[in-house]
Amino acid sequence: MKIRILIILLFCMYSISSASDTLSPGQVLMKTQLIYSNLKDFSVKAKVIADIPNFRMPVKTVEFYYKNPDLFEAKTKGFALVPKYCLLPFSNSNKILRTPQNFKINKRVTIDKKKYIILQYINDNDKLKNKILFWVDAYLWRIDKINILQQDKLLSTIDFSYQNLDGFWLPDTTLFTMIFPKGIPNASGPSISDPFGGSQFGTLQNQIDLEGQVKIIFSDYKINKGIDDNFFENRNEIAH
Amino acid sequence: MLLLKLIYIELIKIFKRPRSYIGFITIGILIPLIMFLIDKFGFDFQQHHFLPFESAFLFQGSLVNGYLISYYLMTVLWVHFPFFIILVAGDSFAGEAAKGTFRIFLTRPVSRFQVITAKFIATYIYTAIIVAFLGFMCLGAGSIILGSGDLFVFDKGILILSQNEALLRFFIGYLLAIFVQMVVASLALFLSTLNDNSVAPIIGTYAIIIVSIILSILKIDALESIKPYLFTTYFDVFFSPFADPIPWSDIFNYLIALGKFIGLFYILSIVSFVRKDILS
Amino acid sequence: MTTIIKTHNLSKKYHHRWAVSDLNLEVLKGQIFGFLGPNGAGKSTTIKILLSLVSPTKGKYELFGNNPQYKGNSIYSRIGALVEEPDFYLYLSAWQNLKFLADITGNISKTRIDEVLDIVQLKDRKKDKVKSFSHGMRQRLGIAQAILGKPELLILDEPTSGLSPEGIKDTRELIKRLSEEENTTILLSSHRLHEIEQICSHMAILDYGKLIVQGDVSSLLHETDFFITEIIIDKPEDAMKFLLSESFLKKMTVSGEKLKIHVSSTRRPEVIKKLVEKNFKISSVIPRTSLEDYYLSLIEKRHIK
Repeated sequence: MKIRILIILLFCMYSISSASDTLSPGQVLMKTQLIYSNLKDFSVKAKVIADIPNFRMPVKTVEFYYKNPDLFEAKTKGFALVPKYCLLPFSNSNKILRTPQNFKINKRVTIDKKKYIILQYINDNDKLKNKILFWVDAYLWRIDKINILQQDKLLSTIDFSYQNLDGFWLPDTTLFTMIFPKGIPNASGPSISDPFGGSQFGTLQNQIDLEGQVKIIFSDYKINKGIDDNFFENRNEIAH
Repeated sequence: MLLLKLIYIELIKIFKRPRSYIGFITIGILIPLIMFLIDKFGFDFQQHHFLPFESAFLFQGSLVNGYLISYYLMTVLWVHFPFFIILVAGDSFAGEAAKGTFRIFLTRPVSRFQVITAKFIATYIYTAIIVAFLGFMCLGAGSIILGSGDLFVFDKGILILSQNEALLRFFIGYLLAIFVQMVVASLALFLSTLNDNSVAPIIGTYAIIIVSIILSILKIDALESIKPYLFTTYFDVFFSPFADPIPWSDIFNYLIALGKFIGLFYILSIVSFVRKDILS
Repeated sequence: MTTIIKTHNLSKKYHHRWAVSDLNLEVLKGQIFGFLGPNGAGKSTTIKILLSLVSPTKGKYELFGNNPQYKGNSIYSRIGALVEEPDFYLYLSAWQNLKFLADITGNISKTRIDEVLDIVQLKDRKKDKVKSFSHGMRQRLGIAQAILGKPELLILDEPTSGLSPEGIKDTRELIKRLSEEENTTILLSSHRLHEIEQICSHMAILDYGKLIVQGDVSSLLHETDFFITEIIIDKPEDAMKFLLSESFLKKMTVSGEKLKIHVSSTRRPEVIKKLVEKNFKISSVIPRTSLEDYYLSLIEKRHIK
């Protein structure tokens, strides 16, 4: 009996593996988004923790609200810096993911016995020649990582870790690691010789690129509770 | 006990004079007006300072609030605000000498040392009240008109302080600003003891402050050696609490330096006034 | 008798001018001491030194046997002073001004403030700001603040300056009353010679900062023969001509029916007798002293020198 079960499992694994090897970029993308088709809306609290050289911000709590297909709003007391790209890794909220024709398979890799299909977003109109790579878990069919490169130089990486809530893979922690090519100037506050402070801000630049991280920890998801459209008065454009 | 009575009398003298309210009226009108104008016409701030972030980040909420404007308005404490202190302190001794009121005041069982001390303390109390009023107006009117929130400052780059943290920093900042203005008051009081006309100490104190600030600002090597001896060199101490962590050691050293100037002007005032002949 | 004020070679130099020079003054308890001298004689400077408003260049002074320069200002709780024209805090009421001074003098009740305002007839105006007061009213308030603490020594510099005739009379009576009823020692500087003559028991005359003379008024006038006899007489011109031959009569003047003769009290009966014998009709004889003449003669003498 045990041998039979093992054979069936091996067969399934082979089928999956061989299937993933033959899927087109559009099919891979569809597999990552299929799970979210029943996600009508949700709200979530998120802690935004910035660790950027020469930039200090208190840990901020932001509430994100999403409604299918493209309503999104972030609310916070005071001010918060929220990453612009790929905050939510599903297509309805993300314009890029709605264009499967612009994707190609960059490569397939196995890291720590985990198999990934790396999709590359192609935008012929992009003069900066940005390259966006989506690391898709070929077993769980979710986007685990995104790399943004400019002329093959890594600009930022987004790492997702998920929790499964009501059958949806929703971000548990998202870590944005990014390079500031010019850095953030080491400006100082007002002083008798610089009455308004930060006078060097426009001119002073760091010699080396600075790497910073923004970690977003999500909690308290409320899924499919029926958020009214009127709630999204000041909708945010969060992803392009 | 007598000193307390003298301080009380000096406070009444200060607050019964119309000139003592010039500062309050100016602040009371100007600060809400500035806040209102910023609310109406905006303040080009966020875009400029967040250029390095623009490509990757979304700015949620606004950093232009009452606290930010209050923070920048603290710069008036260097050159503009001292005028209100000087106007009162410069008249303290010289005004009485000119009006002849010393003749009825100093022929009482009260020593000149006590009179000087009472005048210094009363002027410091006035200083504290008007600085507190500035703080109250900035933060109060700012919060009402522009709202409150996190505070954006420069400190080894960009530092955003949470609302509660910002309020605490403002509290410490204004306390330090009182100390800075006490130096201004002490100088004006000293010059006031030398004159029988309040115009001279008012102009004199203001001239000294302006010249000292210019010398403190100029980045000339030859001036570096004299900068520690200029009280204006320590005038920016009230911005120190807006750093993270708060540089307590630096603040303490600055306070000692400013305290030395207060002590110096106080002693000079005693020497000048105790020996002064009341002729008018 | 207790010495209240004593100065020892008290001197004050302003720039290159000695305002007061080697002044040795002594005022005893209970005296009303007149302080006379032309403008710039050093009267106010002396008073300011005594009140610690001005420090002496040399010499020393004692008040109640103590030198305030060394013993501190507590002695001034026993002294009331009015120096030149009184200047108050104009933006405060009369009552508030006195309250301030009462607070720093100590042991003065609010009732006493009302009392002194009543004495100088300002009780009805006590709530008014001093800036609304006339010069005379300010002067009266000045007197009020001087007597506020029931002082043992009252130093008054030109106290009747700017007062109405009625005010002058009231002030004069007040000074006399304080001296008689409360045995207050009073140092009074005045330009009104007849005022000094009427009020003061003792006096000192200063000129160019120097003391010319000091003593009790009647003795000084007596010794120096500055007594006037006013005679109301018919034919005063004729009477003057008749008396011109008398060598002991130094000076005579006629004013209406009044013949003024400078004559010592000892020779006065002789003059009256001569006039009666010559059938002049005398309706009254009024003996008077003339401080004014005495003062002027002293000042003139010094200026001629």
